[in-house]
Amino acid sequence: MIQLGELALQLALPISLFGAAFAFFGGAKRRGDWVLAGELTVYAVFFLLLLTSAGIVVAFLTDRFDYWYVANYSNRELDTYFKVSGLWAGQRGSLVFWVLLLSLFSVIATFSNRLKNREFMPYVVGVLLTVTGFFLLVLLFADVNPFEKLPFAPADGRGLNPQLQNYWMTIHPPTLYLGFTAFTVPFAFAVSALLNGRLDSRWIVITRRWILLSWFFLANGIIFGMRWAYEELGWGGFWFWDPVENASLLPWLTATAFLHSIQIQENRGMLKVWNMGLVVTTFLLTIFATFLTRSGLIESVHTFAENTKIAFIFLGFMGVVAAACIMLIVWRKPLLKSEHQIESYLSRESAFLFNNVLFLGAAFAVMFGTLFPLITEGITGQTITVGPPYFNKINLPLGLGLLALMGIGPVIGWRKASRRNLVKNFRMPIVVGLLVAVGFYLAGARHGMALVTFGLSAFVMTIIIVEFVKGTKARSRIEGEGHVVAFLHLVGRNRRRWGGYIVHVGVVLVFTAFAGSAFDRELITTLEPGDSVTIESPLGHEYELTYQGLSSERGNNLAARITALMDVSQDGKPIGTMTAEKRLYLTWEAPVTEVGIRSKFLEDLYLILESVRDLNGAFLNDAKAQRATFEVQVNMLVGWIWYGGLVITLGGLITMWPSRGPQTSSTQEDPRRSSASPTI
Amino acid sequence: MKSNFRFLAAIGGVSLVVGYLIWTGVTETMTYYLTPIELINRVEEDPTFHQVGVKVSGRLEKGSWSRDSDELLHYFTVADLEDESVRFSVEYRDILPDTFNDQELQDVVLEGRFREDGVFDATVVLTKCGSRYEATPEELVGDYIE
Amino acid sequence: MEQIAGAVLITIGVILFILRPVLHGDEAPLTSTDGGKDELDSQKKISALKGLRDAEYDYHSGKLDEEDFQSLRLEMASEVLGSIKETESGPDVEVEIQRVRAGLAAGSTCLACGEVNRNGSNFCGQCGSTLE
Repeated sequence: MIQLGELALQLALPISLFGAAFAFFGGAKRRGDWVLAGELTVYAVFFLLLLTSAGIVVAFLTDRFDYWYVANYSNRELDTYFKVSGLWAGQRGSLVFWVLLLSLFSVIATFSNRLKNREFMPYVVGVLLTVTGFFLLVLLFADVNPFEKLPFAPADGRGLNPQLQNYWMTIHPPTLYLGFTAFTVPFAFAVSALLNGRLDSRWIVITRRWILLSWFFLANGIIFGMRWAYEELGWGGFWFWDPVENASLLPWLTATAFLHSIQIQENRGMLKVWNMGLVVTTFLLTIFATFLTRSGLIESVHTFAENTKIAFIFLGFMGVVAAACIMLIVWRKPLLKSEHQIESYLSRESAFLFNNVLFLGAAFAVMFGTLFPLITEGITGQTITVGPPYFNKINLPLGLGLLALMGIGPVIGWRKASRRNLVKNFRMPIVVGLLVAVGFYLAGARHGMALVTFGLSAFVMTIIIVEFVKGTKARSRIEGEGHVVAFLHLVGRNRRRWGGYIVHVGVVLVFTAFAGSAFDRELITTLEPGDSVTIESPLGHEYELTYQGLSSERGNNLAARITALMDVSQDGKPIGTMTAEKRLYLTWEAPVTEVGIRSKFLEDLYLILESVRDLNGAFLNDAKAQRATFEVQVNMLVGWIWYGGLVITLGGLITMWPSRGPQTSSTQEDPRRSSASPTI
Repeated sequence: MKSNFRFLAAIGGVSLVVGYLIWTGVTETMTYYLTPIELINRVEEDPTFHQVGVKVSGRLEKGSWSRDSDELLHYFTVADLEDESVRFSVEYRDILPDTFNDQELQDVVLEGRFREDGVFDATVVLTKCGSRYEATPEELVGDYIE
Repeated sequence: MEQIAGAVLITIGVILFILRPVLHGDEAPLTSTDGGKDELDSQKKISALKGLRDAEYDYHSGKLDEEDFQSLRLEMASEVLGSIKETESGPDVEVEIQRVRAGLAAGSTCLACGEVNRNGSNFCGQCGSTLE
């Protein structure tokens, strides 16, 4: 099986490149037989990559440590679950996983369009197979072959980094990869549109669901990463502006901008060049994200080992794609002319445009900051870095601007909104926002940015809730339906809009959580058993943690696990216990910290076992070796990130849910209505 | 037509604001990333450089780690990667990463200030952990031959 | 030995699978059965119809004033009816609009082609689509 997998991988490269050639040839020469050959290639390549992946997984499951990749990411004792996920644990396997997902999406895109959108499909298939071929090229020629063998078979593998043996870490990369690879499909349709000249909104309408799907996975993938960092890295933080984190954020930023700007093109036939640029940019950023992670060009805790071959191949690919797309766009410029103009800056088009400027500004700032060390070293020879202060300084105001826009967008109409209407509709939400901000201020919160965030969040939430209420009431009255039924029908008839509002609610929750972190508390203390430490929550109550002592034990993969036990009480009343651990794995030199977390709705109590004075004594459960240093944190509103993520997921699913009946080309609302009343 | 112009102006304005934020962000928070040799040379040339926050990458000297009695303060020595005779002491008051290990060959990245008394006052300590490093086949085989 | 055989088999199998259309003359369609451009036009019509209905609600709930409403109606109705130029106005257009609107309210206006059918019809007499 494993050798079959290796063969399949080697076969997949020439097959996919030939298939791309067949598809392009067939499309250009109007030869349906060659086009069909190209489409069949998509299915064949997927079959081959299934074999490849199966080969790798079997190698893991059968402990084949004579394979370099298995030896480096597995060992005999490893949980079966992690042996299977070993497929994407390391550089090589994750490349196979990437191209497998890309191939899967190619199959879906090709099959679902076998009778539709035929003017696009030959070139779509061609582009998809070309990108697939590129990744296969990397796998086979950049020293990253997952089937590389060692001269002999070690008795056991090195095992998987214990910090990766965590639920969130097994789903975080696949989710991100799903997001990255799914975006190749809209890109392929865009290129196809450039080639076949169908440059109206058709390509956007066809790929709308793909764009939503990609965005959905990217957003979730990023949030899963934050969850993993918070639970596993043991510092109480969830985002560090690490280069690889930033690299995954970039395509998400531009994809979100794109999600909004395509609506302008669909409704008003404007921004065609802009949208083309944006889809190409987002695709390139997905490639850039994986390039940054794999080339080791920028120092990061995330990067795989440095590999200059990969760096050059990826850079070359991105350069060629960028150049080709620019040429195509320039060539087709006459067909990309806008059909209308912006009529007023008090319009939804205008709000969406500002949204785009802010997102692109943030993306540019993040990219600039991430690449800054390379730039300065290249120009001056001296490496200069920028860190979290830079990224926070820039993204905070931009984030607040976007938050405000989320409130303005729903209320303002397309084309031209009447000032009087706006004032009427904004009055209550603004009052609510101000009340909330003042309320927090009076309650003792003094952090300026956080107060503004809270106020704006309340403003946006009010507007969205009012939109839902107005819409439901109107529909209920006009169609004679009960409120619940009216609500369901309202959302069902215009899923993109109302699902989008739900997504915005989720985003508001996440932003509020970020603001909450301005009020976190922390302390470091050294304790003997019986000692207590108290920490006060910004909400007014006090936690007291009483240290009970350490216990030590062995596990299957563990040389030792040292657990510290704390009794926890709140304002004098006992509420339970917490544990924090240090684990020593047989296969890993460094100890791993497992934190203790008590999550409540508004705050998390977070316990880190920093160090044990006498580690050897502790291993032996020596009663005199119990002195330990702890960090205790109260993390405000951090749970709202995860809740927000769930709401985003719900909203995202609603927007993507297929509706019965003909696929309407524009959004279900006609843009010529001057205000955004609920579409019935 | 006129509103188009006003519009472009507004977008241009926002872009300028973003640009301004980037500019001040960079100039206010940029941090030099130096080797110990570069750092020592720099403060010799320019004593005010003692006040500047910098990032330094070097090698942790074996066996040089010790801890203060209150256990929250760590001491260790960091040397230059090229010339190990160039080194300085480091003081750090916070939690060390789990991978920090003075018994093995380890590279570290520090952020902080190089004080006038020749001690580096670190606010951040990062290790380039050996566990992230993928073994070459030769090393892997070597491990098992031993 | 069997591995080489298996390898050869798979390679040949895949190549034959892919090249079958070229060898046998099967073709993938190069144009869509759904008509492409026509579909776009009819969908514009549908969204205009819906927009017309929404404009009604907006006007009656006080979000739209009289002037804007009338010009919107004219514009959208003309798109629905296709042949009537925007510059024409007067009782003929008004009658048409009333007919379409009544048809919408009664559920007898076909959303696919704009034809106003008899009340109570389940299918459009013009194009065969299901009536809402």
